[in-house]
Formats: sequence, structure tokens, C-alpha cells
Amino acid sequence: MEGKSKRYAGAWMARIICLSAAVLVCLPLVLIPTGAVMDDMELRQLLSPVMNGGGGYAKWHLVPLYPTIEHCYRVFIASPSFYQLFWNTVGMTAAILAGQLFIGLPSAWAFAAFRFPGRDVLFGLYVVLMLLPFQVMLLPQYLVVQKLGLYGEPASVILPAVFSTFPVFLMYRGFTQIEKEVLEAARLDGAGEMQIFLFVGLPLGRTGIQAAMVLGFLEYWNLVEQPMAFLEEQRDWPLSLYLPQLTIEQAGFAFAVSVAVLIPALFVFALGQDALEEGITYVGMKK
Amino acid sequence: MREKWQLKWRNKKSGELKKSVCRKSGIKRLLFLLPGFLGVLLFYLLPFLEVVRRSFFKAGNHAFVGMENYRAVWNNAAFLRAVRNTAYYMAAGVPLLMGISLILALLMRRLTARRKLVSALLVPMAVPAAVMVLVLRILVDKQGLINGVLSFVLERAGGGTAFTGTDYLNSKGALAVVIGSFLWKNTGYMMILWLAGLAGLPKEVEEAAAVDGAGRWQRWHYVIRPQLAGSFFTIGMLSVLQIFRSYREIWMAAGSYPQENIYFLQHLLQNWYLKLEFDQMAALTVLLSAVLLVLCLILQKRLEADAG
Repeated sequence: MEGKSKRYAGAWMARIICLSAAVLVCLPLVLIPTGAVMDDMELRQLLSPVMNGGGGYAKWHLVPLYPTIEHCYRVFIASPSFYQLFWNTVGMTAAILAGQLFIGLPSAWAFAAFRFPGRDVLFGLYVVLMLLPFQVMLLPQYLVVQKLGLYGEPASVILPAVFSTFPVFLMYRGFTQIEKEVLEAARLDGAGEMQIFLFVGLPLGRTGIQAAMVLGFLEYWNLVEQPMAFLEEQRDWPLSLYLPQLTIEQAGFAFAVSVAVLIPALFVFALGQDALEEGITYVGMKK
Repeated sequence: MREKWQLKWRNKKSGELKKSVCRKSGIKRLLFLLPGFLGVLLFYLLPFLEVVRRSFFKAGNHAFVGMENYRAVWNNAAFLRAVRNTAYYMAAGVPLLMGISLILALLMRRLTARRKLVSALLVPMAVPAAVMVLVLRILVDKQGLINGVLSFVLERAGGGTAFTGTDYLNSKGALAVVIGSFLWKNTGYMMILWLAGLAGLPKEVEEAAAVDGAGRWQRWHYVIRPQLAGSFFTIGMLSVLQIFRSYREIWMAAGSYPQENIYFLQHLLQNWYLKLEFDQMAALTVLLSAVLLVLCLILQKRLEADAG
């Protein structure tokens, strides 16, 4: 009897600790939606220690005193440049993910379904490439981009990302979950390679594809270093590079832009959380 | 229909036919890989080899200088500082990340309804760095929210002694901010890996130990921990690699020339890039990728051995 109540108390402790960790992680994000609907007077008053120095510390109101849609109006209606940058982000992300599907998916299938000489070495190389930080590839990619005359073009960001090896790895891991017998049965029944890929591989390996798309979206929605290195004109930039340029004086506007950046990312996250978790474990687990 | 199937079966069996089928499908199979591989070759492998070549030449007149660029990097004060900073960052960040995420995973494992809590800890993966940095600037400013809360609490507790906040990003505390944001971003990710590792352990052993009267600590120490050795290694390696991949937030929060304790190798590469000092940059690129390559290969070997 005593043991049971002890275990009960232990479970409650575990729940409380995990809950506090979750709250701690999510609490800072509360600033974004509240800041986006707070009017400039209030923001200036709350953040003035951060903006102008002077005495005291910044404060925050979880419920704005004078809620306003002014910032959202300025972002979504009064400033056409926002849409330019927003659609840059959307276009870049969509082009990269489409390219990865088109190029990476068959590659992943080749690694998963076929044995060919040099396969293991090549795959090892793909894995190394996906784990390297971008700064290591900065100079190599600059040289290619320059050589191909793409410097300053959106293609300089899109093309290297299309050939990224990370989605190939994730999709490969999805395909390896398919039982060998299924493929053999299909082959025995006379299905061609293309048919097997389209009608057996794609439906059965879809978790890997979803994981690649979800993780890819979160990555490319958030591009910073690549556009900074290769795109000179601000009108070609994605929002993720524009947002840090805003100063603290424009906090309300910056919060409203943040909401616009955050909503699609959270939407994809909420829809694809299972695929996301699957994708994370693909990287760290044995075959 | 039946004859057709039998014919196909016979074709499969006869060696001669099979060979030609194989060759034909071999080409078809190659076509799956080729477009992607050519792209990887063009955008990753070949330019990287070009960088290796360039690391032995002077940038301006293309004269062969042997190891000169490497020597220049090695004797560069900023390089040495960046290496030391990275070592500190790693020495503090990796154990903290692994420890916190492991504890959370062990606790989470005991909860039946943990889905929402796991989601909450993963949310940072979905928050674009630019958004996070906007919040960070308000939090860690000298007169920001963190110091505000601290002063409120400490002045109450200390009975009215004055509290002066630290300007975290411009003082020795800068590394703490960097580690904090690293933990914020990656704890959920690593926790998922620990949970996957824990889920792979056979339940029976732990239950048997519990029946035999092993306490929670004993079960952890003698049953769970030894079985998690593989996960320890993998998660440790991935955490180290993640250290190198956490530049984006640092750069956006503190700029190209941050407080000297958070000046990392990535800053150096980025700044040499902007100053077009490609010869030293090439040498540093080769050095850094050699180190990371070794880490990746060890990780791969280990994963294969586990699978083996």
C-alpha cells in the first residue's frame, strides 16, 4: 500500500518537473503574440530601459492594456515590401522542397533498393555531407555559384539546397522500413523498377518522405546564412534575413512580422509532429 | 494468364536471360541515382576539392605556397581564441544538453499522457531563429526581462540590497547566453533520441530487477545505464556536431564581432569570406572539415557496429 502511494507521488513529481520544463521553454514565446497587438506607447513604456537605458528594467504585460491591430495592419496591408519578402520565403522554400522530392527521392530509392559497387562509401559520404555545418561549405559553394554565374540570384540559394543530402538520408531510412519480401514479390510479379518505386516504394516509405519535408520546411523557412552570403539585393531576401534588421524601436512591427513568420512554421510543426519525431530518431538510431 | 506467369518464372530462372535483364535494369537503376549524384558532385564534392587545392595557393597571384596558409591560420590570434572558445562551449554545452535531455526523457518515460509535453519541448525546432533572437534581445539585455525578474526576486529576498544586472551579451556571461539558447533549441531533439533509445530496451529485465527489490536508482545504475551505452555515444556525437551547427542564432544575437568569449570558428570563416581572404579561409575550411569528418566517421562506424 505504501509502495503504491510512493510511486503515485513519484509520477506526480515527474509530471511537475516535465511541465515546468515545458513552460520554461515556451514562456519566452508569449512575448510574440502579445507584442504584436500592443500599441506603440505601451511598448515604448515597457521596453524603454532596453531602448534608451536610463533606470529600471524592462517589463511586460501578458494582456496588453490597449490592444491594437495597428502593427498587423502595417505589416499585412500598408507595406507591400512585406509581401515581396514573404513570397520570397515561400517561393524559396517551395522550390527547394519540390527539387528535393524530384531529385532526392529517386536517389534515396537507389540507396535503399539496389546494391551497386561503391554504394556504402558513397552513402557514407552523403551522411558526412549532411552533418557538416554550412560554414564549412561556404567557400566551396561560393566558388560554384560564382563559376555558374548565379551569384546574387535566388538560384544560388535554391540549387545547393536541392542537392542537400539530408533529405536523401531521411527518405532512405523511410524506404529501409519496407520488408525485403515485398519488393521481391513485386519483382517476381513482373513489376518494372519504375513501377516498384512508384507503387510499392512511395506509399510504403511515406514516413521518411514526410519527415524530410517537415524537417526541410522548418530548415528552409529559417534560412539565414545562405541568403546572407549569396544574395546582395534586399528585395531577394527571405523574411528570416530581414527580420533581424529591425531595431528594438520597431518592436511592434517586428513582433507582427514574427507572427507572420511563426504561424506557417507552427502549422507545419503541428501537422507533422509524428513525422518530425520519426525523422529525429532516423538520424540517431542504428539501421 | 497462367502460361504467361509460368513463362516469366522460367525466364527468371534461365541464367542467360537473367543477365541481360540485369544489365538493362542496372542502367535503369543507375538513372535513379544519377541526377542527385551529379548535383552533389557539382555543388559539394568538386568545389570542396577545389578548396583543398586552393588552400595550398596564394589567393592573389595563385602562387604555390605549400603549407603557408595553414601556418598563417595556426598563428592567427583570432583562430586560437576561436578554438579555445569552441572547446569551452563544447565542454559545458554537450554534458549539460545530454544530462538535461536524459533526465527529462527518464521522467517523460514514466508519464502515460506525455504527448503535449513532448510537443512543447520540441516547439523551439519550429521557431525561426530570427524570431527567437528578437525575444532573446529583450530577455538578456542589461535592463532586460531576466535581470528585471532577478532584481525583483533578489531585492525582496536580500531585504533591499541593490541589484545591478549584468549585460550578458557584452560580458563574460555571453557564453552562458549562447549555451542557454543552445539548450533551449536542442533539448527536445535530444530527448526524443533518448526516448527512442529507452523504448528499445527490453522491459522484462527492468521489471525483473524491480521484482527483486532493486530501487529506482539501482535499476538506473545497473540495468538501464549499461544498456544505453550506444545511445550515450550517438547522442554525444550528435550534440558535438550540433555545437558546430548552432551559429545562426549566435550571429543574429551578437553580430559579426561579438564579445570575445563567443567568437567562434564560424565567425572567423564568415568574416574572412566578407573580406575575401580566400586562401586562409580555404585552409581553415579544410582543417575544420577534417576534424568534423573524423567525428562523423567514428559516429558511422559505431552505428554500423551496433547494427552489425
